[in-house]
Amino acid sequence: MPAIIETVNITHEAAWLPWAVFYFFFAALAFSAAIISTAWTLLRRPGWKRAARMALLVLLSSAIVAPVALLADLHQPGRFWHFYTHFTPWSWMSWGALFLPLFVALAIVYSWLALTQPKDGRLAWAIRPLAMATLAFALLVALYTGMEVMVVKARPIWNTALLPWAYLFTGLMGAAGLALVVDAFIPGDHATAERKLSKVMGYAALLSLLTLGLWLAEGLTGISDAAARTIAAISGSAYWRMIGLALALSLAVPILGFFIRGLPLAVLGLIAVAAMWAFRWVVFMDGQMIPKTGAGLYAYRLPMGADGLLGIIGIIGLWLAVIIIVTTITGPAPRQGAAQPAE
Amino acid sequence: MSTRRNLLKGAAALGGLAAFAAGYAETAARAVKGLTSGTDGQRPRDRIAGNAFPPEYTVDPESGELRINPAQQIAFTMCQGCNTMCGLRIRYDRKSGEILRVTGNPYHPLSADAQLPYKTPVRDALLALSGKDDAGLAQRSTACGRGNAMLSQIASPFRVLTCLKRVGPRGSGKWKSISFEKLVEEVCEGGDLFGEGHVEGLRAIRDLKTPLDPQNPEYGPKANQLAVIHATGDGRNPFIKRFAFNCFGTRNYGHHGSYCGFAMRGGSGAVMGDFRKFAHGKPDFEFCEFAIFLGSAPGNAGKPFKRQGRMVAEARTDGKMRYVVVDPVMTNAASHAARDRDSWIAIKPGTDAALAMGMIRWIVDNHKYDAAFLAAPGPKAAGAIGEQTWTNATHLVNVETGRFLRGKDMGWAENAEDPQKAKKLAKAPVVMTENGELAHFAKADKGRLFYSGKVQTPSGEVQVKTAMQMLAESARRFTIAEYAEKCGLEPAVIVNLAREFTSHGKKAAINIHGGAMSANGFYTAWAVLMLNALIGNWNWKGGVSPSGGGFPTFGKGPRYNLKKFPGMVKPKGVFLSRSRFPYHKTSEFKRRKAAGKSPYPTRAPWHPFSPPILTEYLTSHFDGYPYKLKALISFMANPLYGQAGLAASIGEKMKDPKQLPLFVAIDGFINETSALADYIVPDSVMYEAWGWAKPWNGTVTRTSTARWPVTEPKQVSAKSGDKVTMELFFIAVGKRLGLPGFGDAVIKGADGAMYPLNRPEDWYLRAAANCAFAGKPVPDASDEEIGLTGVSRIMGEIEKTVKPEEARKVAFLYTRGGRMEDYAKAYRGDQLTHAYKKPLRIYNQKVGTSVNTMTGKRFSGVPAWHEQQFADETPLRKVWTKEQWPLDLVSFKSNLQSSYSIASPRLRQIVPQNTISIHPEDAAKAGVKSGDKVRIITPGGTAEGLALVREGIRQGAVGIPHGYGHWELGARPHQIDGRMQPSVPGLDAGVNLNLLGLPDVRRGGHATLLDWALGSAARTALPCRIEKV
Amino acid sequence: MDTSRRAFLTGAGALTCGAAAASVGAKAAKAGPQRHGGDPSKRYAMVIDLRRCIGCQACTIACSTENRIPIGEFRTIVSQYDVRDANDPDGAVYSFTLPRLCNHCDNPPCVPVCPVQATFQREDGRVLIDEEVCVGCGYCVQACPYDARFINPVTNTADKCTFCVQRVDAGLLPACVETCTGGARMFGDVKDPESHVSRVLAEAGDEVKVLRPEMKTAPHVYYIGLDTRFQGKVDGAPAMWTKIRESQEA
Ligand SMILES: Nc1nc2c(c(=O)[nH]1)N[C@H]1C(S)=C(S)[C@@H](COP(=O)(O)OP(=O)(O)OC[C@H]3O[C@@H](n4cnc5c(=O)[nH]c(N)nc54)[C@H](O)[C@@H]3O)O[C@H]1N2
Ligand SMILES: Nc1nc2c(c(=O)[nH]1)N[C@H]1C(S)=C(S)[C@@H](COP(=O)(O)OP(=O)(O)OC[C@H]3O[C@@H](n4cnc5c(=O)[nH]c(N)nc54)[C@H](O)[C@@H]3O)O[C@H]1N2
Ligand code: SF4
Ligand code: SF4
Ligand code: SF4
Ligand code: SF4
Ligand code: SF4
Ligand SMILES: [Mo]
Repeated sequence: MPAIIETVNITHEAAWLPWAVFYFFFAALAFSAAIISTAWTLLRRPGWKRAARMALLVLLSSAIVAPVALLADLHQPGRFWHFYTHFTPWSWMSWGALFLPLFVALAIVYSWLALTQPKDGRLAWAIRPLAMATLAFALLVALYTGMEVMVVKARPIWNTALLPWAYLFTGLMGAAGLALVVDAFIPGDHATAERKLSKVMGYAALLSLLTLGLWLAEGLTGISDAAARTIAAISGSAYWRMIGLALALSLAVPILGFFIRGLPLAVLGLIAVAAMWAFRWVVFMDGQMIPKTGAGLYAYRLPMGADGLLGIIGIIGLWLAVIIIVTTITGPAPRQGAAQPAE
Repeated sequence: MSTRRNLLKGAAALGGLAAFAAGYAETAARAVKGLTSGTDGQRPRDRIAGNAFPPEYTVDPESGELRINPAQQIAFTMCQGCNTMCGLRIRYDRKSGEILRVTGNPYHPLSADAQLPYKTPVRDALLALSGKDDAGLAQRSTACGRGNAMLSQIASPFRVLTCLKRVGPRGSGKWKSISFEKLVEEVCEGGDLFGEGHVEGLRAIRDLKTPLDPQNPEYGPKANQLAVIHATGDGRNPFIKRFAFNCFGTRNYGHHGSYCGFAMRGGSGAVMGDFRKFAHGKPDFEFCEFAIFLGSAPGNAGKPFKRQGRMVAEARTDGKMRYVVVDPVMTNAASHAARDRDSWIAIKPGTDAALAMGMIRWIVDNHKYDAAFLAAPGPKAAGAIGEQTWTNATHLVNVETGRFLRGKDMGWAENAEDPQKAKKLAKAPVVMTENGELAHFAKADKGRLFYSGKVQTPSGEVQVKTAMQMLAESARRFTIAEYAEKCGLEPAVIVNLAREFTSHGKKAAINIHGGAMSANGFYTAWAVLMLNALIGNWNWKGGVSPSGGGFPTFGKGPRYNLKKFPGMVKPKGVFLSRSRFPYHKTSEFKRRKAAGKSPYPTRAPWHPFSPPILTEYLTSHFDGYPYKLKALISFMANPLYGQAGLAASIGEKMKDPKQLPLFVAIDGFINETSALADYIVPDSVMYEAWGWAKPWNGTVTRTSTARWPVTEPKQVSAKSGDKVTMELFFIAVGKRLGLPGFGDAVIKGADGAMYPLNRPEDWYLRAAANCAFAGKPVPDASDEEIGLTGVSRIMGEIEKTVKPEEARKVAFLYTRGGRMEDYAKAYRGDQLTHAYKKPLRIYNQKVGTSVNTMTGKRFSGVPAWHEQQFADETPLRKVWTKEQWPLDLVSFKSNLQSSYSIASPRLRQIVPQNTISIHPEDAAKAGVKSGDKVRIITPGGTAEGLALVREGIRQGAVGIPHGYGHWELGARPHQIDGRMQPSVPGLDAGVNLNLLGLPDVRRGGHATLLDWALGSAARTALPCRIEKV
Repeated sequence: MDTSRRAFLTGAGALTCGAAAASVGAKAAKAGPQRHGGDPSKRYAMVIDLRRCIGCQACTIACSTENRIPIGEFRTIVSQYDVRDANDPDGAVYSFTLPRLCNHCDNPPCVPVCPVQATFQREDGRVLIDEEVCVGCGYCVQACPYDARFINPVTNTADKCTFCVQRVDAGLLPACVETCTGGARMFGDVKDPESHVSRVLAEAGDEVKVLRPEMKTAPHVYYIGLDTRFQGKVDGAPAMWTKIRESQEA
């Protein structure tokens, strides 16, 4: 019997809803895809052309969906403009409000241009600078999304310098994974793209796993107080043990591609996307179920409505529609004789 | 192929967009609303203070200038969130009448630490509550959790607002509204009211001449076939009592006492020699150094809940008190933060008498009692040593008869000339002086405490013992080790408690209440309360105090006599509960004797020293012993929810009009009992009603709490324009039946003139006049204060009703929420001002000479250990063995809920449901974890609930907090005039222990398990077992 | 605030690509949120003497009523525990009640995170929210180490204890203090050495504790009689609030 039994207390609801999970999910897909795409659009690495194209598709679709999800996480979406009338330089979120729209705008123009490559080549010159600018803002978005969560000391599970890295690595893994999935649906030469993307996915998964391992080690050794507190809070929970194991396993799957030839890469990619999403879900939703003062854990129950299941289906539906429309318009490959980015 | 693919893609895209539209519609709508109107939520009243109400007044921190918010009104009236009846400060919106918030009345001792002097101007009182110079911290006056929350009762969707008549069978939950006049007519005249055959009306029942049972004429007239039942001293009880006893003339008025805390009252009555009013005392928290709360939980429950809570908090912090809580359950009475001042002893349920008898034994064996106090045989001797009361410890008892040896046995009266004096002499108890002489109790200055032997009387030798001797012998029937084993404690615990209890002189006290509601409750409470007598702590600072009491209101007051009226009936006959009436004077006794049969056992006990007890009313009616009722009127009482085992025993039968032809409930709500009525009369609720209440004991100054309609009552009016209330109903019935005491010229004024009783105001405002003029009359109220406190709302009524010279004084009472003696008057030197001056009983002759009619055996006249037993003295555990029922079910009150507070949403949000406390070891045995659903099974019923596995309960005990597990009061929506009440989830949450209550299987019939001697409900220490569901 | 800024800076250093922007941010952040409004000569605080608390929840309900908090949301709650005494060899069991509310921290982590400065601190120490500005992003809810904030489902903005700003500014006491049955809650100005709270604090000396001191938030709700086991996240079996709700829905 524990020495303390809580007999009266209340459950605190999650202030960040599943919308936030999806925002961080799509934002990370977008900034990661932007990074991957520059292998061809900026660096012209051989063999990266189709892979980069797939990444651009992921970028374009995710960049459109991410802010939509973010807006819904505000309890006063109609007041989004307050971010600009009350700019607050000491708040990461405020910076995010600056970075995000710029990134999204850049990403859309950049990916659209790079995907469609206008016939007359008139705008070809713009692709490289756009890629550069998009990359810069992608990194800023990666930075702010990581930092925004990391600085919350009140939530030890978030309050670790490893978190931004974990976001970045899982993001790259998921974006490459999603690109692999998209690739499977678009006719053409799959082999090279698959090789490149699965490599990114595999390495990113490995780094993600290492990051998580490092966090665990920090926590268990007590080097990181925050990690130790988190582990203390969740270690008694069978649920957390289960999700910990499930996360580790799903992060290990994308690495398998290195070792086992002939695995269906699109399936691995899908698992990678799922793992990336699940990581964010666990960190956000389950993380918010760790009481700051009360005993034990709160129980999160997914609402059925807009702030829960319906919203989740909606936002996934939106992405699906966008990716279908985008791929349909842009077609399977760049038009013959279309502009190439300047070299 | 490609078109099919495109089709698929198109469908997928469309599907995705549709899903998005569905999932995002709300966000989009909110964004649009936010953009267009500035917020997508409700805009609060103030951008910083949110929806908070504007304050009722403001105080300038520098100048102290006080400004009243003209939109709001402050008023002082009474709470009815539990049975404590505290004085409150109500704040309402003047325009809508909506009650905004309530908190304490600073003039009232139940709400304030040391109440403000009565004459403090209201403006100064408001200042004293403010933040200016931190005044309000010292002068805090509070409402408790319930008190704060219960304002929801006023606008509750479950209120009865019209006169209701049932549609369809009783209990079907369907009603129609009828006019008040029609209701009164039907109830009085009877007829085929429901298409179910003829129903006798009150007119037919009210027959004061014809015996209801010619075989047993002592049962009284037919009028006794109406029972009127009520809850408690809510400030309105004298009215209903007057109707029942003195106007209608039935014997059968009963209140909830017998299933509230009557075991304590009975035990206290035995010690205090008061089987009329059952007086009792409470520790003087403020100066007490050591207290034992045994089966009473100050701070968790208790009457007065709030005052006790505050006093115990203060005592363990800044006061001198250390205290021990003896309870199978750990409640909020013991605080970890003050752990060097309090501790919890987890006793085995139902065994407290063993603990107390063990303590008595130790105290007697070690001579740790207050010998000087106990040896004083009478008032003079007591006075000489500074005591205001004395005991009969030294009085000699004739062992054979159980009667005191008195002057008449000694032949003292024979020589006296004055017959008055002779009578007195004859009655005087006899004591033995130190040198062995027999003396008049009031003349000896000291008596022998212990004596057992023969004494010489004119009529021969008599075997006698002193009362103290009898107590000592009773205590010595078992060793301390044996007692310890019975109550599951170490012998050292008993010894240490006894030692500490006797180490603080008179500044120690022991208290008992609800925890004594077991089948051996009377002797338990008596044994416990005997301890106070042994240390002589009565009336002393830090000891035990009776109540400060109230001012005369409904009695024969200085202005009006509200007690007596022309034609007043004196009820006759046997109470339905067979209380007080000596069985040996019944026809039954005589018949059985004449037939040469033993008069014992009777079908059911004749309770010799109990008052009328509601626990026996309804079951006796259904058993037809002594007789059956024809009609029942209930007001606020809810025995079907509150009396353990009653719902199982008679719940279904109550639905049968053939068994009980007429049932009228007067209630603000439809509770478990009134749901089974034929008619419901609506009533004022909380702060809408009139009344004058006395505080429960534990208040050291004199107080009368005013209850008055601070806002307009919400229920319908009668044709006369008066709101339909309990009072109006009885007035209307009284007038229609031509009963004495109602109408014009029925209240006698001190001026000799007669005054009317046609409206509630006629009664309550005259009671107020009595209160205002008691002793030194109160001042006149000023216009300003009448306005400040909302009394202006009733000023017209006051002026219309009382005499001009009374009006302003009556108004003054209402500007203060009653009349309260100043706190400065609480003590006189080392003693309490309001003292108990009647003698205390170590031996109680009434008990000692009474017979248990179920066995023919005499009761013990001193406290003694009895285990729980049925009325026929068969031990409970002999029938319901430990093997089959290994656990004891314990009742304790929810610290938040009262028995009728469940519908308050702000209360429910904190603890939405009660849980079943189970000790880890018992839980492990049953394979139960916290949060599991468990089934509790007793010989009387089965219930399921959520387990809370905790160490805060004794192993072997299972605890259920009271206040949940409702099946009415909103838990089941009723249909009124074809419209359903709202269905609010959660009102039926949790478990009610009383559905697990037990029958007295040895009595048979409908009887529920009661204390075998007294008839108080047994709701704790019930044999049970648990199962995981 | 210095710690969150440190975290800010180390994090920034870690991601070299974002260094440029981050340094701009860091520079701006140095300015930090400024206190505004209120009387700088005052510092409001609450002192809670737990020995006096009887767990009656009068405070909880008074707050809920006075401030018209939607049912099921709380600006203050009195958590309750069964606790075994750590110092007692027999492991005596007691009841422990712990009123919780916003601490009106001197170093409130909820303030700097707010992206629109809707949450701010007055000169007198009270941490407040401007409902008209709040975008309901929930960031402050995350940042408060005491679970003292929530998103009000009626206004859709952040909500928490205001120290009853409307009453205190009117010269009255907060609702929860006014009605505290046990007299456990005390309120006043700790800058005034003569105030009741100052005197109580001085008298209690070392007995005075705050919740989560390691967060360096400088809370201004002080406790007397606080067992250190309750200062942070309580290590024990949780209450059954959720279970109860589930059982009611079933
Ligand atoms: N919160 C709250 N307060 C109330 C009320 C309410 O409904 N709710 N009602 C008011 C009324 S009407 C009354 S009469 C008073 C009653 O006030 P109390 O008598 O103080 O309260 P109870 O809970 O009835 O009983 C007191 C304690 O007896 C314990 N007990 C049960 N069985 C045993 C036993 O066998 N031995 C011992 N030693 N203890 C035992 C219970 O666990 C409980 O803690 O409270 C009043 N105050
Ligand atoms: N198991 C168990 N049983 C218990 C107890 C326990 O602790 N455990 N406690 C016992 C005790 S101490 C007592 S006192 C009894 C109480 O039992 P009772 O006195 O019989 O009744 P209550 O349940 O208090 O219900 C009073 C009714 O009055 C009505 N009412 C409430 N407020 C108002 C109002 O303002 N105006 C009007 N007109 N009507 C109103 C409601 O219908 C309510 O149901 O229960 C006892 N039963
Ligand atoms: S103790 Fe009872 S009467 Fe007094 S304020 Fe609380 S609920 Fe009301
Ligand atoms: S919820 Fe409102 S107050 Fe809180 S951080 Fe967001 S905008 Fe600021
Ligand atoms: S307790 Fe929380 S909400 Fe209150 S000031 Fe501190 S951090 Fe902010
Ligand atoms: S100070 Fe006011 S807002 Fe804060 S908890 Fe107390 S009542 Fe609620
Ligand atoms: S009102 Fe006072 S005594 Fe009651 S729970 Fe709140 S802090 Fe404790
Ligand atoms: Mo009671």
